[in-house]
Amino acid sequence: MFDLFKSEYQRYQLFAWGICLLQLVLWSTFSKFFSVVEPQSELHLFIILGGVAVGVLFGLVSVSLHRRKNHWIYLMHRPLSKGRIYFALSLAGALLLFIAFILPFLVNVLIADVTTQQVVEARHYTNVLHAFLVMLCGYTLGQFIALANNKLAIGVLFSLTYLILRRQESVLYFLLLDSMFLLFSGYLAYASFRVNLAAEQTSKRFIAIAMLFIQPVAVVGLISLKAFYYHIPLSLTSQQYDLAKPLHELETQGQFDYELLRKHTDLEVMQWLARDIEQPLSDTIQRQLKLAKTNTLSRAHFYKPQHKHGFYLHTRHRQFALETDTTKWVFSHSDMLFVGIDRQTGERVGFLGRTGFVDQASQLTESNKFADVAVAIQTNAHYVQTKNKLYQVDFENKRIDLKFALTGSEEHFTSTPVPMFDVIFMSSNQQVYLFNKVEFVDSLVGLAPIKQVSLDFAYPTLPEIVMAEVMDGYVLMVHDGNLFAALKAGAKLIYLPHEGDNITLVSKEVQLSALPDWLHQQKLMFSPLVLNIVDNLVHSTLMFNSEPSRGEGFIWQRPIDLNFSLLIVFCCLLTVASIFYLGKKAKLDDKTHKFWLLISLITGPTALIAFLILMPWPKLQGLIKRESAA
Amino acid sequence: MTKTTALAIQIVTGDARPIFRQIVDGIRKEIASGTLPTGSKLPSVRGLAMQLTINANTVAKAYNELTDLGLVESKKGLGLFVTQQQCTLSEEERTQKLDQATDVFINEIISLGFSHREIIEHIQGQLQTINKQDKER
Amino acid sequence: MANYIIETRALHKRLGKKVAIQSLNLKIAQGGIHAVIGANGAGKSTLFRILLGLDAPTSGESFILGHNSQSLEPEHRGRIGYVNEEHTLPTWMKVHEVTAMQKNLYKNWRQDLYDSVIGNFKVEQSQKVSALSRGERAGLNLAMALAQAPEVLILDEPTLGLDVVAKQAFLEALMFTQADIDTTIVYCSHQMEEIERVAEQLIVIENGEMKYNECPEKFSDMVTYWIFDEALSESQLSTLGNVLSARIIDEQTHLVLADLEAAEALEKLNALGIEAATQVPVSLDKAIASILAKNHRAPK
Repeated sequence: MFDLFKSEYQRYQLFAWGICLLQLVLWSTFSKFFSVVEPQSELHLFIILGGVAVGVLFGLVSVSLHRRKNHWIYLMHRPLSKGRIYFALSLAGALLLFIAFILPFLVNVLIADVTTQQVVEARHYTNVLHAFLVMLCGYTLGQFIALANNKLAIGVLFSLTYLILRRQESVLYFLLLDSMFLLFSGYLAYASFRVNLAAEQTSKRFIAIAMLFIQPVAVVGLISLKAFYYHIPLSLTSQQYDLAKPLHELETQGQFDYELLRKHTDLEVMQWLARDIEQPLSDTIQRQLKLAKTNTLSRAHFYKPQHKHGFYLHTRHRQFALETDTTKWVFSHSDMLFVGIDRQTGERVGFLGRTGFVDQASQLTESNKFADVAVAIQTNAHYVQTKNKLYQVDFENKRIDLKFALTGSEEHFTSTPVPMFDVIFMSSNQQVYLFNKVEFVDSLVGLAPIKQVSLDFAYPTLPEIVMAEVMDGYVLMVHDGNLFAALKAGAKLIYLPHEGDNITLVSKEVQLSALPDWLHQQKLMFSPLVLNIVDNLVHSTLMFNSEPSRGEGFIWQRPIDLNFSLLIVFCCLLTVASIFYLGKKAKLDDKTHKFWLLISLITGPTALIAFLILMPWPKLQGLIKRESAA
Repeated sequence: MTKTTALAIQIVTGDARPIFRQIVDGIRKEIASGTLPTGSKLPSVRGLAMQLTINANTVAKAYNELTDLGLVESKKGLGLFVTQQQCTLSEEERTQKLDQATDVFINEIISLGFSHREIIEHIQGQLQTINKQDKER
Repeated sequence: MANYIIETRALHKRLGKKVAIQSLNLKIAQGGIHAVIGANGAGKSTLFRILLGLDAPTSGESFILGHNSQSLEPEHRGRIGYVNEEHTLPTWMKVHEVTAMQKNLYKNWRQDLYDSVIGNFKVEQSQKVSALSRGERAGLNLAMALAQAPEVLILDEPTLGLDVVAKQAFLEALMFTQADIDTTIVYCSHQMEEIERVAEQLIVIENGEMKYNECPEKFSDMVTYWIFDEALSESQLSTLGNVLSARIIDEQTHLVLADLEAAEALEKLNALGIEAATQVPVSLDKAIASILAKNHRAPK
């Protein structure tokens, strides 16, 4: 087995080392502009995606070379079990990928760690490990596709999108996800390694796991058919929404779709909501809104609590880079405080902890550590924000003071401080806080909000938050597709008068979509159990969502119409019937046929797509020919 | 140790006769013409196979046939040797064979127009040549 | 079953529309060199693939070394050698590295055999495989295949594309090593010259069926070629049994018959009223060509 490993390694070793050297040269040349140790998020994404692509290509190419008729005989006809053959080849492949792409990455991190005073921690190394695992996932899928008899199997690549998540989670979560993915994809590749490549796969385990990987592409494929039978005909017959019409008209004509709110300006939406305000405020608010200005909480100000053991991701809030001196203050996860590094000399000049500035590392104690990972907020003043505390920092006088702390037990910030009109706006997952601007910047003692609004969401999601300034105060609008519960869209208008208590003006549930369920909730219809469970566990990446997670809830959390559930059941039964028919025609062996029927009952219509993909082409062609002949 | 006698036989692929038969016939001719005198040692199976670049089993088969015909005999540990050519045919059989061969011969040459005398002289001459060759060995 | 080193039972293989192998009942006994002959597309390569388990039959079974081809274990594969015309070898490795790899895989490795066979070819151990000529690569492949000391060795057109010298070296090396290790060799080739030299047993496969399994001598005896003046009708021809070809050349009938000894054939011809028929000697390659050509078109 070792000989085969060595042989395969030798085959590509020059390539691998060549690429490794090339990368080392590139990274060192461009280290001023791009840091591979601290990549910006776009670069990080590029590294991961590039790694995956390379892994897939290499798996595809290296196995395709072995797959040629006589080469396959040479490879498989030997006194070595196919498991050993597979592992010899794959270990060599893994080593080559490591050398070509991971080694330069690792070397750079090591050099930064050992030779410079930069903050390099375990998180940076786990980034490297994550990149490696993701590459291997791509590699094994590439192997699987090369050995698949039906080249439509390339669709499994779509499942890799689940690995490109950008959730803010513990690194263990990602590594666990990567490892599980690799376990399954590795199994798929290993099981594809059979002496007789033309033989059908009858292993139940194989079918079940292949099904898992085909789910995402099958669902997306089925959903995109919608374009043909719905959207295109609709646009041709010009029955699309007329956006010139005001929202209330669309509503009365039953064409209301929550997504419409995004197509109108915030003010238009507020005005539409305002129509539902009860007297006596109705007239005054509506009148004031006509001339009001709005301010939306933008994505740029979103805040998510950073994970202590999260991946390294470069954000704007990672460090303080002052103009007055040459120090940059970088937050260290292992020490849980800011480390001051002179930008010119690269030396460490001091530390900023929870209780104050410290000059020497030897002087640091437990009390200096921040309780949670902190981000640096740099505006005209400097703040340090943790999960539930806000500190103000004075670099000139070397002071740090606790400015504001959240009191709710499960409360955490969901935004950074945002100036809106003449207040500072901050949101948490339970409340919205408004602070006096002057107090916010100048006060050296604790801060109290001048206004506080409770946002009682039923479902963990960050809604759209818009503030409008009116004559006597502010009007806050909140809306989300899951405001009242999973898939229960709604909007609220809350009045924050300068004098007096807050008043909830409107709390309106709206129709999530004007489209019928079977058009709107196709993901559920096409894969009622499998994809929905996987998706919600891992949080939907099919639409390349990043933060905050906008899960749609597990099936039992959602309101599902009875008619729609019947439709789902019907689709499953239809799939079972189709597979029964096709299986009989293709003369599938009994056990495999029965297993497919079981699968289609559980997974629904995606099983049909998977069936067509996993069936080898000759049989498929035979089926089609027989159909057309008959 | 007796030296192996060189075997100058040819085999041709694409011939009407299979190789096995070519070997048997070739060796028979050598024995009949006296090139392989009694007691001479034939090449080993492997040796002849290597010489002719053919399958050793084919050689083995040929040798078996020759042994069955009584033309050669195997001496344990020493190899295959040409036996004393005994006349195994009866007087009648001999005459019959001579008659047959003569018939064929006469049929062939009768149309050529040689006189009887010329024919007999020619035959005598050929027989003398064979004797000479025999004596020279 | 234990007696036959390769056996197939009612083996049937359909490739798309074509039937590559039809109810093949092949029995190859242990020992010696068996030649397999058939026209291209007669299913020989498919047969070998099925025997090695690389393909599955549409119906029927095949056995090699007494084990079902579809369930060959690695240890069985260690006793089966396979060489084909491509002589697939890792081109990026050096000769001695490839050899070492083989040596480690096969427990019964015979270094002496390897040395003697490779000695017939101009191969340096330090050369890269990619630098070898076709003939040298064939020699290396053969040397390694024989040094494995397999119980059965299948060669599928191994001398294709080799020059005269390489071919000669290959055949010599093959035949003389075979005797040493008592390997059963199944040799598949188009080259009658090779077949004649090498074969102890001839297997003819035509249209996916095994037609003959005889030693070469019996073969030539079985095919007879006759020339006579009379013309024969269809019904008359049918009484002659297996007619391989019947043509009219220069107003004479040229008839090729199979499965009849010369005397028998002559009797039958006489019975049809043919007094004088000249028998033309038939060489082995001609006999085989006639058998294979039977179902092919002939010029009118």
